Amino acid sequence: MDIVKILQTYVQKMINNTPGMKILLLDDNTTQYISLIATQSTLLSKEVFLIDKIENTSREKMKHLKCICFLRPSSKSVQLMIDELRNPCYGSYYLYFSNILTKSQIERMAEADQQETVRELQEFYGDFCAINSNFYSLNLQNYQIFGDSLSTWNNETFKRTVEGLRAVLLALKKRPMIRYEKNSALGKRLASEINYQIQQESQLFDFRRYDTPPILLILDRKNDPVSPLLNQWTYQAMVHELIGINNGRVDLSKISDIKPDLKEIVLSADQDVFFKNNMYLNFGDLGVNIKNYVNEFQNRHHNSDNIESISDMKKFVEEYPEFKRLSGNVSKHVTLVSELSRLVSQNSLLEVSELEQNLACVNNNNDLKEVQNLIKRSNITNESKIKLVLLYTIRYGRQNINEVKELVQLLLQNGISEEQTRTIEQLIKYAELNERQNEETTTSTIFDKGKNVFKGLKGVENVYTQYTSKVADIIQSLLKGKLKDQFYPYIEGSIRDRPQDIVVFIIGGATYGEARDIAKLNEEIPNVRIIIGGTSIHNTKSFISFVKNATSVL
Amino acid sequence: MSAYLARSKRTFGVKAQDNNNNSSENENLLNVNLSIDNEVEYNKRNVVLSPEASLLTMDSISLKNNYFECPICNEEIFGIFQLNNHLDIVHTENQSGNVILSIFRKTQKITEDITGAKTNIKNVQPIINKSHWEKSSIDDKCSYPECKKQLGIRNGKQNCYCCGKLFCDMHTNFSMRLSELAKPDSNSPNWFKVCQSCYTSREGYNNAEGQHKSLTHIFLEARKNNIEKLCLEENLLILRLEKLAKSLSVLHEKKGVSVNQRAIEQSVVQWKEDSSTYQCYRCNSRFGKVRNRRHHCRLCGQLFCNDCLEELPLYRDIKDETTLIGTTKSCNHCKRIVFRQKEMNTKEKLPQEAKLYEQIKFNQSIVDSMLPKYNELLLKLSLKSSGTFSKDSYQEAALYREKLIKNFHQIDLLSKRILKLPANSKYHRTLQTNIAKGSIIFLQNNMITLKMLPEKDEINVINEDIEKTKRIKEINVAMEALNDQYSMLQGYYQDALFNRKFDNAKILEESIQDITLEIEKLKVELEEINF
Repeated sequence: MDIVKILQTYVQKMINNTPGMKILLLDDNTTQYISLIATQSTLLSKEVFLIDKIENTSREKMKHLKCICFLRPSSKSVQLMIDELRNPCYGSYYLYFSNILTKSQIERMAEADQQETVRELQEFYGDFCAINSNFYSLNLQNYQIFGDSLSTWNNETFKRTVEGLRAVLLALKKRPMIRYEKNSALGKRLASEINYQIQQESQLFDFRRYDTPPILLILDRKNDPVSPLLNQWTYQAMVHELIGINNGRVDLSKISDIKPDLKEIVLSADQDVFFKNNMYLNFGDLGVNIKNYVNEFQNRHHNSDNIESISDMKKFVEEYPEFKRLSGNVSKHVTLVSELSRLVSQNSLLEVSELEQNLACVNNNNDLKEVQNLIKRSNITNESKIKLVLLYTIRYGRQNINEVKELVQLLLQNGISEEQTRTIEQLIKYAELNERQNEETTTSTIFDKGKNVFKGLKGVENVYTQYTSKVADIIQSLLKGKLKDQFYPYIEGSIRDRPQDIVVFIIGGATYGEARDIAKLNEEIPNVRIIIGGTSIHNTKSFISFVKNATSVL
Repeated sequence: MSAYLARSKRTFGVKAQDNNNNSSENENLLNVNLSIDNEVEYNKRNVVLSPEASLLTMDSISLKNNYFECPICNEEIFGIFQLNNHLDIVHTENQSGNVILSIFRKTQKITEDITGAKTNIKNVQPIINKSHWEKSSIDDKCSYPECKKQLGIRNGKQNCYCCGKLFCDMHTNFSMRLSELAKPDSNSPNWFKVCQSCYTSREGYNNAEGQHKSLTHIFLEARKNNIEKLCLEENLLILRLEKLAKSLSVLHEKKGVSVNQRAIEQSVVQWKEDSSTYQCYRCNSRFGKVRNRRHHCRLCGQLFCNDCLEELPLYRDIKDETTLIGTTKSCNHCKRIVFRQKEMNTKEKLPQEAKLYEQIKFNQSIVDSMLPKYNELLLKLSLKSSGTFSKDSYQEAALYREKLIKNFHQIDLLSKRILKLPANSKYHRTLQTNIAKGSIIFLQNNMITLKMLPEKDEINVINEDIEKTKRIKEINVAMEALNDQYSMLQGYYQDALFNRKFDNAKILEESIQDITLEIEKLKVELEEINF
């Protein structure tokens, strides 16, 4: 269940099947998928000498090249493919589509292929971004999720989501039992549509029998608005929260006097061992590791300084490529981590985060006072201030709506625009905070009270990472057989056995923090495998704008 | 009560194996719980027991129904074995050993009361082959690679139901459905504890291959049908084109004679009436009287606007491009169909970089085949580096290395040549640089990591060898030079004789003798070295 490896296997299969000089044609979607999992050098070493987009109409005729196309079967891409086949630029075509083609699409392409250049047509279900080995995203951040109310889907997005999630299941070779959150209308619709699709495509979904069927758990972001609002302290999550990861790339060009080759860096667990080992570590441990990493590099550097004998030289030459890679990697991570720590101290993120965690985890009488104090401070960003009020609203807003109003006033006094403070109302609407008043005894409360008591007994390891995301709690109770059918119903049938494979999908987007919690669970409980993903990946900024968009349709 | 029963059964199943090397805590259990070996005994005894006997012992309703309530989560579970499993899987994390033990103590008495019921419980337990189980001893270690924990009360001790080896609790916290022969079987109704290796190595568990579906045959079938239709149309259009070309060529020959060109064109295909449509057949743009006038495609006769019409070359012989006799107009669609075969059959001239790349590929394939052999030789050499390895393999390795380096060099040269090629477009340039980049990556992966031959001081034997080969080389060079001289002198000598310059001939004869002597000397030395 390594989702990155599955996509890589797909790509390898495409490329290895056709020896000779090749061009890889992609569309807008598949470019993102491929760029996350394959490097130019791996493609070059497999004789892929050109990579281009099918949208590019100024391509030249090169009949001596073989053309491998990996496209999403959107009507636009298929039309472009048809145009391409009418007037082929390359000698032969090997077509791979990332999702299920309709019969008419196949026929139209067959009709267009008058010069008989197509050699292969296959469906490879890699229709998603594989970010970590257990974390995927459908990359729908630019899609409007909601239709005309918060309980209906936008039709286009719905279709796209169903196709994406269906592809995830096909790529993983899972025919799951589907569970969803009772209070999510969106979840129910998606669950029943996926179930219908599985039955429709029963030939495709015909896999070997499992000991126990896998579970597809469809969650709704509105039931956990806390996770995307918290400051993150583990490496990958932190980079996304503070700087932003876009398609595995981090834009550092805003840092003053940065080296040109570090303006945009790639963070990939697949190609970067240091990142792989540290992506889930918290900032403190990361600091120690990066220091060791630098030391290791310096030792090597020192060794290479005093080349005295021929054998030293030989050794140096043999290790040189490794050495060069290391030096690039060291400077990359050092730059990144120092930028992170600069941002942390500049924006007093440690203090903010401590209060955030307290708001998220424990009831505390001083919370109001502390929020007020931080709002008055000048070295804290407006974004952090709003975030604190949002978290305060989520925890106390039900009982003390007046206090929230006071806090909004305070925000306005401290130079935050009315437009920005409107976020608070919007979040209340999105997360249905007002409707939750009578639900305190059920599982759909946002804060799990029992959990906190338990935590108190165990003692807190780290103030800044005491919050574990709700999805991790849900998974744990699912594994213990305690996830009540009443609140997490099955769309069809039910199963008693403890699940061995779980696929989580969050409508409204997942976070790197959640991915990290899931990765930790995978490590701690080796007899179960969990994969998590969502319509997109959030940090605070994107989540707030998502909430804004969601409520703007109303 | 049924709950207690279930609990005691669990302890029976799991703890009993610890009895071999456990502490005093468990001593009082010994009389009730027997070791695994004894369990088998019990099974045998069960067979002997008559059904009446077992009926006598059934004193509770729950036993009759075989439904049990889990003492922790109150879930109803069929059969005691499944309950045992349920407890193992669902409630392990929360419970420390002490809790289990205290529950056990409480229930122990009750168990003793109904020990007879045990025979009944046995009937529920699924049959599974245990003959391959590793026997438990005092000093057992976990069989999981890299674990090696001492097995016993602290780490637990458990046979994997699948492979039968002994493991600690942590590495048997997995369950799988197994058949009666203890093989993985998803159709089996029964769950068993297995070890991590068996769990992760079962078929299809670590499959990285996603689902895929080949539509090639459907596509080819659809294309075949389409092409058949297309061929009919193609033949028709080609016939028209040939007719048109013929008639028009006649027209060209009869220069001056006024023949209505339009009449000829219309004789090939019926033209659509101008009044029949107001729109272009292809782009649906409206025709006007002055702007956007009507035009006929000379091959299909439909009406098109000027933008949708293309120039159509006319050949006397369609297969021969040199017989061009003029042009006419046709629609895009007809033109494509008429020249379909031609387009398919024309081979673009292979660009220079493609030719060079072929050579690079050839060199790379040599490297790919030689590199593993070379590495194997090196491994052999390094294993024998104590001093007694054959000089043959060293020389062979050296030879391989030389050849490899030569190939690398060749690849490097070729890729540089590709870079220097003229490029007529940006696109070509990218292709060329990428080919060069690709070969550099190949070199990086293979050449820079190419291991050096063993060091000289590591292998003194080789040293001598090298000296010898060096000397042989020197001799060979010298011999060659001498031979050259010899033949040269011979030529001069013959010349001198021919021109009757006997004085010169005498001197030349002497030097020839000197040289033959020298050659003889070298030959002897060479033979000495070789033996």
